This record gives sequence, C-alpha cells and structure tokens, in this order.
Amino acid sequence: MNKEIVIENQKFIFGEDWTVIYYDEEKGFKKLKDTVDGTKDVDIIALDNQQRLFLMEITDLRGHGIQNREKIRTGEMVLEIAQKVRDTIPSLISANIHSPIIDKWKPFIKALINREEPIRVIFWLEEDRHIPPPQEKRRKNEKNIFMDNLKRKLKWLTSRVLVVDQGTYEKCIPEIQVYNISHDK
Amino acid sequence: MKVKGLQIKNFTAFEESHINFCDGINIFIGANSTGKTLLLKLIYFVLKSGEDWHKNSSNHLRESELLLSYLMQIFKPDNDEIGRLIMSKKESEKSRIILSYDNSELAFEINKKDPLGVREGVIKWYKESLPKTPSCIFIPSREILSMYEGFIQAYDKRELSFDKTYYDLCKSLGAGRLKNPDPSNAEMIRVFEDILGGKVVLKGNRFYVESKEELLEAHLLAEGHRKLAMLVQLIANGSIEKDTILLWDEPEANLNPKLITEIAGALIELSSLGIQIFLTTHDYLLSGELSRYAEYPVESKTPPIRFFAFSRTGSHEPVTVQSGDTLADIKDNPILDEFAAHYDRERASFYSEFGKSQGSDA
Repeated sequence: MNKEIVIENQKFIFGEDWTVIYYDEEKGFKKLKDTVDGTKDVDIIALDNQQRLFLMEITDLRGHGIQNREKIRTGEMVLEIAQKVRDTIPSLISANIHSPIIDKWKPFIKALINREEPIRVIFWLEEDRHIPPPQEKRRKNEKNIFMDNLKRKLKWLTSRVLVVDQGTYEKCIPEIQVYNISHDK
Repeated sequence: MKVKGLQIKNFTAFEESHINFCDGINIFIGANSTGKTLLLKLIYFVLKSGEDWHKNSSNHLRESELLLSYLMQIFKPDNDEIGRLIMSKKESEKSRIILSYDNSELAFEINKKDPLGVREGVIKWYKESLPKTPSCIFIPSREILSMYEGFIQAYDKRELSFDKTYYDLCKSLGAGRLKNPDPSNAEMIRVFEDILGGKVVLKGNRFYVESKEELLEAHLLAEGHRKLAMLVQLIANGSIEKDTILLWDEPEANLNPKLITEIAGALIELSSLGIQIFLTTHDYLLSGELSRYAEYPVESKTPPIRFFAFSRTGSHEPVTVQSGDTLADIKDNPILDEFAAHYDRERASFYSEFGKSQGSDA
C-alpha cells in the first residue's frame, strides 16, 4: 500500500516498498530533541526498496515568501536545513537505541553507515509557479546556487543533494509522486 | 556627447540591425561568435576615426585613407581583404554603417571593390567632412599593463598580430597622472588603489604598484589586479573622464568574483559621472549585479542601464539583437540558460540513480 504524507501543501505519495517516517512521536526518536535544546529534524525520513536513505525537508514559500526569501538571501535557510540534516543523524541513532520496537530503526542505521549507497538529501522548496520564462530560469539559477551552498554544508555527509519544486521535479523518482494540493486536486 | 544608436547593414555577421543605446551602461551578452566584440570594435572604429581626424587635422592622410587604415588595423582581415568584412557574397553588395550621437550622425559605406580602382575609395563617406566624435577608450579582454614596455615601439615598426585597440590603449596608459583629478574620480582611484595595496606608477617604461613597503612590477601582480591597475591609470591620467565613451571587452576576464562586484560598482560610478559605457560579458555575476542596479535604482545615482542579447541560429546565419532594461527582460539569455541547464543536469544526475534519466528542459 502506498504511503501518503501531506506537508506544506504538498502531498507526497511513496511506493509500497518504501519505509517512510514522518514526524515520529516515538520517545526514542524524540529523546535527543527532548534532551538537547534546539535540536530539529527533517520532515521525512525514508528508505526505498533498495534500502537507500532519503532525508527530506519541505518548505512552501508561497504566502510567507518574504521572510523566507530573506532567510535564503542571508544563508540562514541553508544553515537551518544543514542543521536539521545533522541533527537527524543522532536522532536516528537515539531512536535505534531506545525504541521499544527492536528492529524498527535498524534498516535506517544500516543505510546510514552503508558506504556503497550515499544518503540522499532532498529540499523541496515550493514557490509560485506561474511566472514568465525568463524569471523561471532565474529561479532555477537561484535553486542551483542554493543547492551548491547546501552541498557545501553537507559535504561531511553526502554529495547527493537536490533542491527542487513542482516545476522542476517532474516525478523523476518514479516511486515518489508529489502533488501540490492547493492547486492540483 | 552620447552614442544614441547604430544601424548596420551587411557588416560581418550583421545583416540588418538597428540598435538604440542608452546614455548609461550598455551591456552586450551572447554566446561566442555572435558579434558582441565586433560591435564594440565597430563603435570604436567610428568614434576613433572621427576623434583622431580632428585631433590630427594637419596630418597627411585623407579622411578615407584614415578610415581604411583604421578599419584594417582594428578588424585585421586576412591579407587586408576588405570584402571579408562584408556579409554578402555578392560583389555588388555594400556594408552601410550609421552611428548616431546626440544630434549628429556618422554614416559610411564599404564596398568590396572601388569602381575607380583607388584603394581607399572602398570607403565612401556621406558627408563632406568627417564629423568630430566624442573621445573614447577601448579596453580589450586581455590586460596589457605587463606588455606595455616596448609595445608602442614594436607596433610602430613591425607587423604584430595585435589589433590597434591594444596600441591605442598603450598610448593612453602612457599619459601622466593628472595633478588634480575630479574629486569623484580621486575617490574611485583611492578605493581601487586600496584593493591593489598601492599606487599605480609608471617608471621608465614599466608599470608598478608602489606601496610603503615595496615597488611591485606589474608582471608580478595577479592578472586580475593588472586589469584593475589599468583602469586606475586610465582614470588617474584623465583618459577616462566625463563624456568619455568607454568600450570594455569582457571586464570579468581573470577577475575573481569579489573584484567583479567591485568592477560592477565602479561601472555604475563611472557612468553616473557622465561616462557612457559599452561592455561585453559572459559573466553571470557581472551581468546579474548590473541588472540588480537596474532593478533597484537609486534616484539620481543609478544611470540608465540596457542589456542587449546577441544570438544567431547557425555559424553562417545573421546575428539578431534583442534588448531589455533588465536581464529578466531578455528572452534568450545564454548566461542564464547555461546556469539553468547546469541545474537541469544536476537534477538529471540525481535522478539517473533511480532508473529514470531526465533530459534538459532549460
């Protein structure tokens, strides 16, 4: 059965072979957050059918674009996401240590330390789509620069970093479909 | 005096173009071989011809001789074949150039062959006398501070592959510094000399940057700094001053991004002092910075800015030019296109590991 998650006006549908965690309330996972102030995690943690680990963060710039655009401009947003990715790693370890369900987190830890398959980080940055072509290219370029900056902050972990939105995603990971629920019914 | 427009017919890659410039900064963007530098040189050729004719009115050359000589020295066609500068293959076709500035214009035709058999007759002047044009400076993409020593003498005596723009620039660089430069220019010189770490000086036949600690030869400066030193010298000696027309081919070449930002600021400053600027660029940062100035103008400070995108559908097809007041107004911006395509390739690489590759949709 497919897994559906709605976050920031986006509906993510993962294939049935995927293992997906979204805002886990489990004590084990929350232990780090409860213990160390300021700890934040990414929105979605997922494993695909080949046990590759995905860390996904989603932000919808529409509506509160001005504050977030400023955060993008100053580099604050890149840092924020990099910190979320960083904090998610010990949260996973903590969850594996403290979870009442013994095997629940094991595949994630296995994927985390698998040197053959790098971790994939996806930052979903949704923006207004109805813009003329020149601005669209400019926006792509902004995403490109953002992606490069995020890569630099995450080079300790992975080089597989993607910054994407509805306009540029185009269902290119076949087992993850994403719909904009405020526009695409 | 400002250059207002240029009409070109059958000249090099231009079949028929009418281009209207702004009084401030005119930025030419486009892929290689789309005629950006050619256009810059064409403006220079026309302006320099008018300027030098009036400066050296007692010289022995006729106007058409001077024009022909400059045309050859600036464009350097193989074997001095003027026909190589005319787009059409037909013998009877001519090039026609009209450069308009303020209330005047400078118009001429270039023929492949002169019907009277006089070589300089290939250039036909419309008016009785060559009009006086504003003074202008052409800065080529390569720095020339390090080759200054002996260059003028070598150019005067020997056949060199360098075109006349290098020679003219060397001559301009050689002028001594003004005793009392305009205060705004003095401030700009100070800012740039701070970056360079010293004052640009010409000693003997060589350029140096002189600080309290040392006298550093131009040859030992980073190439980007040599370029900056060149600009400083031209401002300091008055070669670039109010009403000069500055033509600069790829200012960004060999500059690091921080210097490019400084150069963008300097261009705005120069233009606000009344210097009309024409430049070519392939650089995202420089064009983006200038577009930012255009998008967020500061009243009474930001000069008019206009972008021109040069393109052609094939290597033998004519050049087309579109213009806009900001980069966003340009439909075909090759710099932006390539960066956007890079983003597409980056995504395609990411996706390719999931069994589905994605073509570029830039």
